[in-house]
Amino acid sequence: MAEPILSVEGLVKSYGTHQVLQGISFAVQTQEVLVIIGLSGSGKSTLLRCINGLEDFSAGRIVVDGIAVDPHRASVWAVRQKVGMIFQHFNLFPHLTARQNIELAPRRVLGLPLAECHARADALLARVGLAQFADKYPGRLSGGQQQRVAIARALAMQPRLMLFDEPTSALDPETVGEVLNTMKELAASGMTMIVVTHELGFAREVGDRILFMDGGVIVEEGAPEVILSRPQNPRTRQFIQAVL
Amino acid sequence: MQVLFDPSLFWNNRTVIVSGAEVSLALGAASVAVSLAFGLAGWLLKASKTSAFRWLGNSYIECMRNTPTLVYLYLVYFGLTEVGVTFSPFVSAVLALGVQGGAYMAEIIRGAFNAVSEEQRQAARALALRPWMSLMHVELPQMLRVAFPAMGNQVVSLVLGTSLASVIAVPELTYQSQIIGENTYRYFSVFAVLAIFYVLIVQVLNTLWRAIERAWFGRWGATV
Amino acid sequence: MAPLVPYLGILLKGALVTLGLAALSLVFASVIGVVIGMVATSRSASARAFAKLYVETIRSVPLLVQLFFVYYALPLLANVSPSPYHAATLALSVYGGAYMVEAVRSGILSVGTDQWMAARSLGIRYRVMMLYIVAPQALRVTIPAAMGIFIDMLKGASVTSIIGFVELMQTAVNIRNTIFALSPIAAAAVLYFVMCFSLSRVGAGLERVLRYEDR
Repeated sequence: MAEPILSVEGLVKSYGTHQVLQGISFAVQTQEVLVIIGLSGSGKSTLLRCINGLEDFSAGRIVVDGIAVDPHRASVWAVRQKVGMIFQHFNLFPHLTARQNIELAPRRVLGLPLAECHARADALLARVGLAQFADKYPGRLSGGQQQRVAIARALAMQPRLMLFDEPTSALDPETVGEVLNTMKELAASGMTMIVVTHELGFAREVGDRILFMDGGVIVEEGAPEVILSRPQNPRTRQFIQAVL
Repeated sequence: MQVLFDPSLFWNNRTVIVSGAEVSLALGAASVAVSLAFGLAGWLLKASKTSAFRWLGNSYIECMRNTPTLVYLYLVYFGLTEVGVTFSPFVSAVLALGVQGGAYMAEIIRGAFNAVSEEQRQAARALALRPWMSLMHVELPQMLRVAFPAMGNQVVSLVLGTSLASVIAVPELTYQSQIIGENTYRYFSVFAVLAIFYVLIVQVLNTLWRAIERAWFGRWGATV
Repeated sequence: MAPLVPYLGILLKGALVTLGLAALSLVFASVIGVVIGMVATSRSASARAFAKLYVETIRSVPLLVQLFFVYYALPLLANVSPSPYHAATLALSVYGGAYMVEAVRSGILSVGTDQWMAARSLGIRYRVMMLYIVAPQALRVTIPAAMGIFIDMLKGASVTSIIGFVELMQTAVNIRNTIFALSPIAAAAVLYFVMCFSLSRVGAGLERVLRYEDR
């Protein structure tokens, strides 16, 4: 079995006295699509933020592509170059056009020449179906369009792993589909993805594995057909029945 | 019987009036530049992780905000001569106005920094943009947009404050107006027009500021 | 520092004069603020324009220039010769008045239009409504703002020294011209700081209390 691209062992995180993550362990293989589901407050977003060092953690170990994640050390920047993150509220930079948003990191972090950044940005915009919006500012784009630009922006760094933190939760129902389609295309092209979402249809279609989290622990994990249709754990069953 | 308003007065004194206006505007521009520099410094001090720097920043801002500009102007002008440094009245005035204005700028900058959402910084970090890069390319442009109206008010305030420089004999417009008034006793004409000059300057500044705001930030649309 | 000691008493007296001038001017400014503030929120567009003209003009001219105008230019117009004290009070009151208009206007506007509509529909007359319904709520915004304006007027009072009114600034300058040291001006700075800083703390406390009453 090949070395997993991400391994999380015994992850513990507390906010003061409240333990948000109580010992999480799992691994993700290259090209795997892992879907994480659960109620709000179960620690899913916090977990993602620990993986790319945006949050500190109290105990445990996270290794991304051979690098141990430690927000206090310079190595965390290498981790962030390999990991792309998509936020619930897109977080595009409002003062830059779509193209400039995508070019910023390749230019300033990787030091690529401007011409190559242009080429990369245009190719990615075409890939997410937004080539004609290259010179538009985020304020003029719909939520779905902004999120697709955000995906292109993350892809510009050619990450090995992409984290999606409820990418469609803040979208109008009409635009959810276009973002999910982009994510499906991404998965089909072989990207390793961890997706926190409520979109169980996406999980069934594209997911290789589902993790159900509740109260800071992984309650159950398994293949989508199992978790969604015949969950073993009563808490999982409760959640699935409530959502479906 | 004196005529109340005498237009020939202005034609006769046009050279000093023009030079006075020029000095006023130069004072204003220089003070704005100095206050921006001190404002940035004051903000960085106040936001520092070292408590000594924070105390310094806070003291600077509180002292400047609770003393009148005139007191500070005298302190700088007379004080510097005590220590043996001789700056021209113009430079003393720019220093006094700029350092005092810097305290207000620091608070404006601080407000703007806090207004930029934490999520923007997280997005920058997730893209592996280091803190300095994030500040320059992500945060400062957004801070500038938030701070722009308040900065405009501060610029107007500084330009109006240049009139105090007349007290230490800087040959700006208020000073020249006093002299013309003393020589001709046409106080009403002189000070009425002086007031109108300032009103016009403020209108021009405000219009310019709003135009720049539209040109620079108008295309961004709704966000921030 | 030592040569300053015999003069500390008169410096303190100067500070009191400053406080007195600012306080009296604040009273006048408040009257102007209420009267023109109500004009500024009236239903007549031309009335509102007039109020706006007053506020914008006063705020676009330096206090020093306004002071000169009152002291030197007005006598030519009205055939009176005000003392420095009268000129100082008038100029400071008109100056503070413009800011008070804004404070009163914000206060009145902070009382939501639903209240106006409710009062109107109950048939309450304008004067009664203003006095018993709008004013108490408007004050919650206006009073903290007025505190800030008072502090600005305290600082502005220093400018009146230029037309020879003997308050704290002028006292300090006079002492300086007698003993040729910097200390009187530094002492004056300290006195201004103490006055303004204390008042700003009081103002912050007031604001907290006034907002607390909302619960």
